[in-house]
Amino acid sequence: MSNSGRAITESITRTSESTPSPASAKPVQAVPSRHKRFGSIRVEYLSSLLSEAAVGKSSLVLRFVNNEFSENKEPTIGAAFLTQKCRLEDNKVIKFEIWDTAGQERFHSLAPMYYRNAQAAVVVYDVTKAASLDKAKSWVKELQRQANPNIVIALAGNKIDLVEPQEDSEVLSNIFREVPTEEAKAYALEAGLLFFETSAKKGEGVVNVFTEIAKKIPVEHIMSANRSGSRNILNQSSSRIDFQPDGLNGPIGRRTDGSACNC
Amino acid sequence: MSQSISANKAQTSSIAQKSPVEEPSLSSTTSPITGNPIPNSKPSVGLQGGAESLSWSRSAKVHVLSRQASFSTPHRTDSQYLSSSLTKSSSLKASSKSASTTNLVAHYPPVSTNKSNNFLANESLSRSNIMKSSVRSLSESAKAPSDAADHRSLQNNIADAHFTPTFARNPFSDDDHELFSNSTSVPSLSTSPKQLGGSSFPPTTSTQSEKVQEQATKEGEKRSSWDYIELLALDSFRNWILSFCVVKFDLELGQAMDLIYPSSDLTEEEKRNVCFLAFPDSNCFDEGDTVYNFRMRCLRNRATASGPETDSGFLYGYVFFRQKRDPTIRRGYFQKSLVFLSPYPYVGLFSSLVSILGPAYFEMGKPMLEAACHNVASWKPPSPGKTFELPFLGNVLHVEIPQKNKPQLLETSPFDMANYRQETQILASLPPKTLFSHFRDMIKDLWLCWELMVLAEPLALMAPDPKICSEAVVELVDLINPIPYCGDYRPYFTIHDTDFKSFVTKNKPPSNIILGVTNPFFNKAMQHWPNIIRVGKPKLRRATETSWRYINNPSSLDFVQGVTSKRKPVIAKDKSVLKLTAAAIAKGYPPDYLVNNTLRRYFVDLTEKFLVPLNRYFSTLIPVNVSLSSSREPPQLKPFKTDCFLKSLQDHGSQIPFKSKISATSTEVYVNFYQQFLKCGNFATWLHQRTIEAQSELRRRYLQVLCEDDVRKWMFGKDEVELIDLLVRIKDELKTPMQTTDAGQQISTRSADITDNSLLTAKQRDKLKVQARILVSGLPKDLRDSLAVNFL
Repeated sequence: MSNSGRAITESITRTSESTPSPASAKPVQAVPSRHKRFGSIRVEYLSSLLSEAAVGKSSLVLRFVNNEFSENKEPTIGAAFLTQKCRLEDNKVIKFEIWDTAGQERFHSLAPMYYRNAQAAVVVYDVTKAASLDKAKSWVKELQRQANPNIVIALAGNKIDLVEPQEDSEVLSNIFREVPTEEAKAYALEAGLLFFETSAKKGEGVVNVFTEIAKKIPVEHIMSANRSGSRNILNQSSSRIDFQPDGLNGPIGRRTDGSACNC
Repeated sequence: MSQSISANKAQTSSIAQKSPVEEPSLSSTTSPITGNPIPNSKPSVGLQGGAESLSWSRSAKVHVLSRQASFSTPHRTDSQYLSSSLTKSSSLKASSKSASTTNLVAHYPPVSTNKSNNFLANESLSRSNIMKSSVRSLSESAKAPSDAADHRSLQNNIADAHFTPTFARNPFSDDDHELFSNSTSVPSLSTSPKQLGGSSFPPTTSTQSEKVQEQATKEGEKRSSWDYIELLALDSFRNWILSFCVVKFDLELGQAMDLIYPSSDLTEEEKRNVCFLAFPDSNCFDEGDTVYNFRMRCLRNRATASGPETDSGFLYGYVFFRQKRDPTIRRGYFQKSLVFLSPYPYVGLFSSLVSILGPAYFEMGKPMLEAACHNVASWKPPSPGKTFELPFLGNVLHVEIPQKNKPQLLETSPFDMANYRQETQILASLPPKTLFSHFRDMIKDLWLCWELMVLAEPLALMAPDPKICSEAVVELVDLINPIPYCGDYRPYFTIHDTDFKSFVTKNKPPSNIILGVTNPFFNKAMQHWPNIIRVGKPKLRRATETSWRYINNPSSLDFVQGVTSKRKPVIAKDKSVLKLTAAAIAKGYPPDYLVNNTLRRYFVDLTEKFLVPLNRYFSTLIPVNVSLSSSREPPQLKPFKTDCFLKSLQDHGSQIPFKSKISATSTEVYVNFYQQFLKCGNFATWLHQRTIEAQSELRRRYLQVLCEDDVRKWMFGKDEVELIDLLVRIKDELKTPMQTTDAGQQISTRSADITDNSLLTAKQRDKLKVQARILVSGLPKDLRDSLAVNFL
């Protein structure tokens, strides 16, 4: 794959609106990307989600992108491509282009296509399955070996809702936490990863994963690199920066396919 | 029916000496082996009726009653009933199980239009005959009116059925190798009344199971001859389809081959390609089915993969993908695909077939595959330009097989347009309305698409789902029919494909290629391609659940439909076509398939007009006079010279409309366009094909002259040397092998029209011999004596 991961194609800048999430960060006030204005900065990031099967990658992304959760989500075939925008405190609007990859064995060999140009990767494990953390560790190793050297990797332990104390004690779940928070945290620290525990079901920590990633990615670095280059180089580099108006608020959805929807 | 029974009784009395159990199998099976003519199976019908007519007619009546009862019940109970009888039969020998279940499932979907007396006749026929004919006669009866003519056709059909194909999985082996079991029609004979009639036959149960056992022991003895028959059945199945594949989405592995049936020698790489091509790139709906097609590379030397066109080395796949909720599965979703692999690009036909078999298979399981195999094995081999009535799982499809490089249009089809039914009257090459339905929002772009196709430019076609993607690519290839597209095309191409690395690179794309893609990944990977066509609106995910309002349809390439191309179009659009389609879209009338046909006919005309100057020039290259004394060699074509053609083009002008804006230099524009065409691969394939046609026509004329011309007259005043020369030419012709007319119906269809003119028929040989005799008689005696030995 020659081209940059994050590129430009106007056409791919689809956005969605979603209600502001309860978390501190700022999902998505959609930005009219065709009309460049000046003011705040918009950055596009390509990131991909990796893990073994059935730990909740798709659910995590759907929580982030649509603020939705489906108890019974079908296994992802191949890979899904989604986008979402975030506004940071400093008024930067960041657009995430996310590859939600399938976790099955067969897709492993093709994962590099999806993460090769990514600025960020979220490696997910299931807190109720110790083996899933082992698999996550091997993903991290692979990313550190093969991916973009500046890649920001986040480790996310999903499904914490399953191990939280149930309010109605009648339903005694027989699911136990197999990965203690401390253990995973220690590993993340050692490997230089961002660390989160999340529940896609309840929406806990999900937006946080992405906003923290956004903060960690060296925007200025990418920007200066882009500025110095020609337009063409900018196109081929792995990021895109647009300027956005100040004080943009309220959802202004732009939709290319006319499928309007407010969540 | 009763007439034929009594008439046949006398003929078959000698066979009737043998045990009644064995007869049906004997009569139906030995005929192909011993080489007896097919009608031998007909007496067996009479025999069965004669020997057991009384008991049969009674049982058949009861049978019909119970059958009718099951028809009138709702579908759900019908399938329950079927599945219960399936489990009942599971204790029987595997072979009898497969046979009987096949017999059962032949009634799916329930046939409600049968008249009972007609059905009785069918019943006794099919019962006493072999499996395949029973499946066929039942499906025949689905559409048949109950008149005498129909009875006749029914008998003919059964007379055609000269062997019993039965495919079954060996229950004792767990591996993926499929066996063709030795099952015969007898188990189905004895067990099917029990199952179909349910409890109405309790007293006979024990004797029947004895019969089954008895038969089972006999089976072993005849195994070798049966294997031979199974191979024959497999062979006729493979005239149409290489294999059915079932691909599942394994929760740990991903795509995995569940079943290949009948087994086939696909390589690991091919299997892997099938697996990935059998699923959409991404989940495009929550619950639903989709049907699409693909084209994949396969071993070049595989005999079954030599399609009728320039396509050897490719296989065509037709996919039925189903995703639905299923709480019994670990992650709550059923995700599976059924794939037909065939050497033929009959997208219209196989898309219909796979959408019939797909749902049936996923509801009823393997017996449906077996039934489908039986149906397909009973079909005559496909031959270009012919129309077939194909029984398939209770449906009868009327199918016209396309001729090479001849577009299929409704006007030229044999179907009665007043009563045209898209579902069952099928033009094999294309789905009924997809050019219009997929390109309806971008009809005006079709002219540019046509230009790009004519010039064999590399094309990327992006679509939101595999159905639109694959059908749009197939339509584009057909858009320039009758020009044979020279390049490689992949209606649905994935990043998993073995060819991915060679097709999608940083560099200039290969010429002569069309890739249909749905993965958004290609949006960036192929952004440097010179021509990108975006087709189809992304569908919203079906809102089966409120939380699944899909704004962010994960599968879709988010795009605006249209063509992005570096090419500046030169062909003028046709306003009347644009008007017509716009009106049709606005009014919803005429129906899509008619608009589609109009649109396709327009482009066929456009292509034909484009070819007029080329054909005009080409016809000047063909020698006009072919006579007995023309030359020693058969006449040859003159070479195609570009400058001569361009001169001829300028003399006569172009037939197709170029844009009026550039009319000042119009000559230059169309000359330029033709020059580009002469440089592209399509010209090469077109010229090749025209040359073959012309040479074959020349040869036909040459042979005709050789056979028919009056040699006596010609000899008058000719030199001895000339006579000998002609004699040698005739002798050379006689040396070539004779065209086989009887043995090779299959052979002639497989190697298409090559055999047509190049070989002599028996009649021509005789005529040539006569001509040679005349020539010899005109020679001096000494020469005559030495030559005569060779010819007479």
